[in-house]
Order: sequence, then C-alpha cells, then structure tokens
Amino acid sequence: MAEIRNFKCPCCGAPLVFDGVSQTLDCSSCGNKFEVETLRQLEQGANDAAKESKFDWTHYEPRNYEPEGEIDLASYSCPSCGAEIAGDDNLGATICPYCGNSTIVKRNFEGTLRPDYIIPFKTDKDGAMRAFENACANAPFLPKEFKDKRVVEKMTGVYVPYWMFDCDCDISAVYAATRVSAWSDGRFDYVKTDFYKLIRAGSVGFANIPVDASSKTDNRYMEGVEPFDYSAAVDFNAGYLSGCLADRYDVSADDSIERANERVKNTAAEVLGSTAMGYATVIPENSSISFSGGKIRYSLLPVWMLNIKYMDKMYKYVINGQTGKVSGEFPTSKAKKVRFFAAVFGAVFAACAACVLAFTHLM
Amino acid sequence: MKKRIFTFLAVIFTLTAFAPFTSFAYNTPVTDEVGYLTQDEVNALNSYLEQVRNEYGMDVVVYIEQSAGSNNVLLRADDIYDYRGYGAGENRDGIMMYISMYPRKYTFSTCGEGIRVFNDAAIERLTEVAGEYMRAGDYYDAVAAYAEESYNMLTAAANGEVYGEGAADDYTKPVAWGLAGIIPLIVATLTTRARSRGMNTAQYNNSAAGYVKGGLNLTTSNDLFLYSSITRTPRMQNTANSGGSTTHMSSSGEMHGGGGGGSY
Repeated sequence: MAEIRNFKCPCCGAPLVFDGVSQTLDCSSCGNKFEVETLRQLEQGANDAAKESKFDWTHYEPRNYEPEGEIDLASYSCPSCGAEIAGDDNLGATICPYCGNSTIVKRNFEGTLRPDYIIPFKTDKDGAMRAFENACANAPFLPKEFKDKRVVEKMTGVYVPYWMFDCDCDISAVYAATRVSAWSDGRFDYVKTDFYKLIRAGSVGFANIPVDASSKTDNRYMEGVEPFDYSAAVDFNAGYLSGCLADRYDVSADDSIERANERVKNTAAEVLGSTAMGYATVIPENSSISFSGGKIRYSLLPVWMLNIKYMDKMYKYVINGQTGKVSGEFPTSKAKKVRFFAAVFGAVFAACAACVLAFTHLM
Repeated sequence: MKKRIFTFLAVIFTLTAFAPFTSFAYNTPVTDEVGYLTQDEVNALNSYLEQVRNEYGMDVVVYIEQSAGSNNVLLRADDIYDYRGYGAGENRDGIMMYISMYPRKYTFSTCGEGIRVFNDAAIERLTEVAGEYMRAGDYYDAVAAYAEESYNMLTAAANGEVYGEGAADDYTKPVAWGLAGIIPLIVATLTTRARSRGMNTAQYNNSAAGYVKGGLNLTTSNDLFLYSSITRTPRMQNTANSGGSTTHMSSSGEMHGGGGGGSY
C-alpha cells in the first residue's frame, strides 16, 4: 500500500496540497508553493537533526604505578589544604604549591596511578618569571608600585593531572536563514527577504581536549593557560618528575566527561555553523551530535604555580610550563582606572561637543 | 465645550464679515461619504474653511470615506488630495484631514506651502487636538478642532511664527547636549570594562577549537529556498527647506508632507 505523507507548510504550518499542474505543494493559507523534493530534503534534514545526541566514551581503566627502573617517588601531603602530591623521594624540604604551607609531610609512596603521557617542562623558572613580567606589563590597570612592593612567596613547578579526551564526532543541524536585499525607486523603498532552511551534516575529530583532574586547582586558572602543545607529549616516565612535584588526580574521568562534552558540543556546533555563510541571519533550529571512538587518557602537564603577596592579599598565578602563558587575577589600581575612564570620557565628550556646536550653529 | 463652540462661531462670524472673497478652485472643503457629520455641521465647516482659504490662500480640507482599501491611509490621503484637485494656487498649498471608516484610521496630508506651515510638530499638535474627539466618536468636534487649530497655525505663520520652529530649537539643543554627555559616558564605561578584562586572565575556555583534528568533513550541505516576502514603504526624506517636515512622494509624483493621526 502506498505511503500517504502529509507535508506541512514550513512558513505557516498549514497542510500543503499537491497541485498537479505546477507539480508543487501549495499552501492555501499563506499562498507559498514548494517543490516536493525541497520538502523531502527538509524533512530528512529535520529528522536527522532531531535525533537524540549520543556521547560514547570508552571507560578509562586506571593503571597502578609500578616503577620500571625509574626514580624513587615519595608522597607529600599538605596538612593545611589536604593536597596529596607525588614527587622525587630526594626532593628535600618543600612547600605546598597550592596553599604555600611549608610544613608539608613526606610519606611512603603508595596508591598513585600511572599517567599515560607527560609533557616535560620547557620553560624554566627564570623563563616563567619573565613571562609573568610580560603579563604584568600588559595588565593595563596594574598599580605602579606592584613591582616593588610585591613579595614572591613561592614559585613551584608542578605537573598537574589532566584527563585528555579524543573523539570523532558526527553532527547534523537545521538552520533558519534569511537573505535580505533592498532597493528603491522614486517613491518607495523595497526590502525583499528570502527565507531558507539550511541542512548541514558533517564529522569533525578532536584530539587531546584537556580537562583538569585536580580539585585543588581552579578550572578557570587551568583553562586560562591553554593550549598545550601535545606534539611534545611523551610516554610517562617518572624520571621527568626528578626535582619536581606532581599532583595526583582526585576528579575521576567520569566526573570530567561532562566538561569535555560541553566543549566538544560548543565547538562542533560552531564549526558546522561556520559553513552557513552568505546569509543575513542564521538561527539554529535543531541539532544532533554523536561521538564515536571516544578515548580518555591520563596525562601530566607542566605548570608553574606562583603565589604573590601584595598589600596583605595573596594573588595566585598559574604559568604554562611549556608556553609561558599566564593565568591569574592582577591587582587593580583604582586611580589608573579612573584616569583612563576620564581620558576616554573627555576625548569623546570633546568630539561630541564639537558636533553639537556645529549642529546648533547651522540651525 | 460651550466656550470652544462659542469661540468657533465668533471666528466664523468675523471671517464672514471681514475677509476678502478671493476665489481659488473648487472642491468644497468638507466631503463626508460616510455620514459622520450632519448636513448642518458640514455646511458650518464648509463656510469656515472657505473663509480660511480666502484669507490665507491655503486649502484646509476634510475627507471622510468608507474604506481606504488595501492602501496605507497616508498614501490614500495623498491620492485623494492629488486626483481630486485639492490645494490652492499652482503649488497646491493645503492640508487634508483624511478619515477612513475601514480601517478606522485618520491622518493628515500636506502639500505645497502646507508642508512648511504644517510641519511635523504641527501635525503632532493636530493629532493631539483632534485625536481625543476621534477616539470618543465626536467627529464633528474633532474636525472643528482641526479646523480651528489649523487656522491658528496659519495666522501664526502669517506673522512669521511657524508652529513648532522655535520650540524645536528649544527642544533640540538640550537633547543634543544630553546625548553629548551620555555617549561619552557609555563609550568610556564600555572601553574601561573591556580593558579591565585584561586584569583577569583566569577565564574558562568553553571552546575546544584548539583541539580540532584536521577540520570539518562536510557530508551534507543543502540550502533550501522556501519563500520570499517583499515590503514596500513610501520614501521619507527630511528636506532642509521644509522646516522640519518629513516629506514623501505620492503615487502621482507630487511631494507631500503630513502623517500623524492614528486609529480611533
């Protein structure tokens, strides 16, 4: 038995009637006519975009740490903030990179999971400090006396645990779009608006999306120092921890998946949307996304933790140990801010006043 | 109301007694195809408006019809003004109050010297004085108020004081200076706020654009055209010599001003 399909007008939603003469589907309500093939494609695209999104991540199986002829490691725990950090057994006295506490307790090394990859430090302490000075120079309202009155409490190189997410992602979407053209004759202005439905589908792969696996570090700081160059990542070897500290993850891979999904969804939608070019407006109506081959890996990434005391307040900065990118909040000089505001206000007011005077003079 | 009617009749009497009877062309000033006005009211208004025309050389007319059809009421008013030969002198100076029963709307169309005298501020004033009566269904009072106010405006213009021109100056300058204060405030606030963002580089990164492998492999890309819509609006332009009047072209190519009015 033949399938009877009812198409609805994409403009007003009224039922469409097939016109045998013009071979189109006509809307008696709004008067528009549509090609049958156009509506078939539209229906197909809308069905694809209405499918439920799927996020298929392979479960991460942790590996226990077993030294393989590498250096001896020890556990360091901070009684102040509770951080549990792994490090070189011969590190000697050290302080907590997160809270600056100096009474850190060394324990026997146990229970650490073995990371898959590590990106070794590329920026040394001096280089990181130079990067910080550059960041200070680019902070527009930094107090002038910050450089002289600040006290660098401690700068520590730490390998921070990250979950790395790889996936291939299929995405389909339907957009409502318009093109607008305008013209005039002697008596009227005309505006013509063409309405379209755009159907897009494609696939895009992601590699090494990092999600901070330590609850000690604020994600704003850790995401602020991205990106890392993963071409420099190597298989984990404890030898890279010599003279350094390495935090252990305390946010599970499963708990980090939501953040990875959010970033993948945002970017996949952005990349697909960028193909809808040449329109005055493009509004997403439906979209569906599914992941395949989702892999999760455990990595250690290098950062410098810098704690600075200024005017009795502690400022925390994170510096990418590979690129020198700085993330943190700088103290603000209210006087500098007010001066900048006043300068902009004055300049724009002068320009506006000149226009007003010229305008009133003409009147 | 009694005072208004008394004043109105007094003006009629004065005009009738002293105004010179100069002749212009010759549609009666008031046309009522609907019956909003009684014959006596039409006669009184015709008498008054003919005297206005004789005194100032300007048509002040009223046209009431059943339906404006599918037209914009302003364009309909322009067409009636043009094709029915309203307007005094070779520039067709005048103003028309147009009232349509379907849709229930009214508006004003000006032409020639009427564009200058009945500028945007004057049209706003006429809308104000007639609108109250229109909404109350007091059509005669609405038309009488329009006629009286138009007469006052013509009198003022004859004395060199076009309605609203001085007021426009008084109003424009404070607004211009107000904007000159507000715009820098907005610009300074936005630029300071944007610059302040550089003081905090610890920000979430909601994108994974830096981790895209290769690029997008686009498998479907269909742009389906659905339909078009065209809107047509009369061209409006502010002309320097029309004294603050917004003008447009009618379908016959005549320059008109006016507008205002609304639903009733």
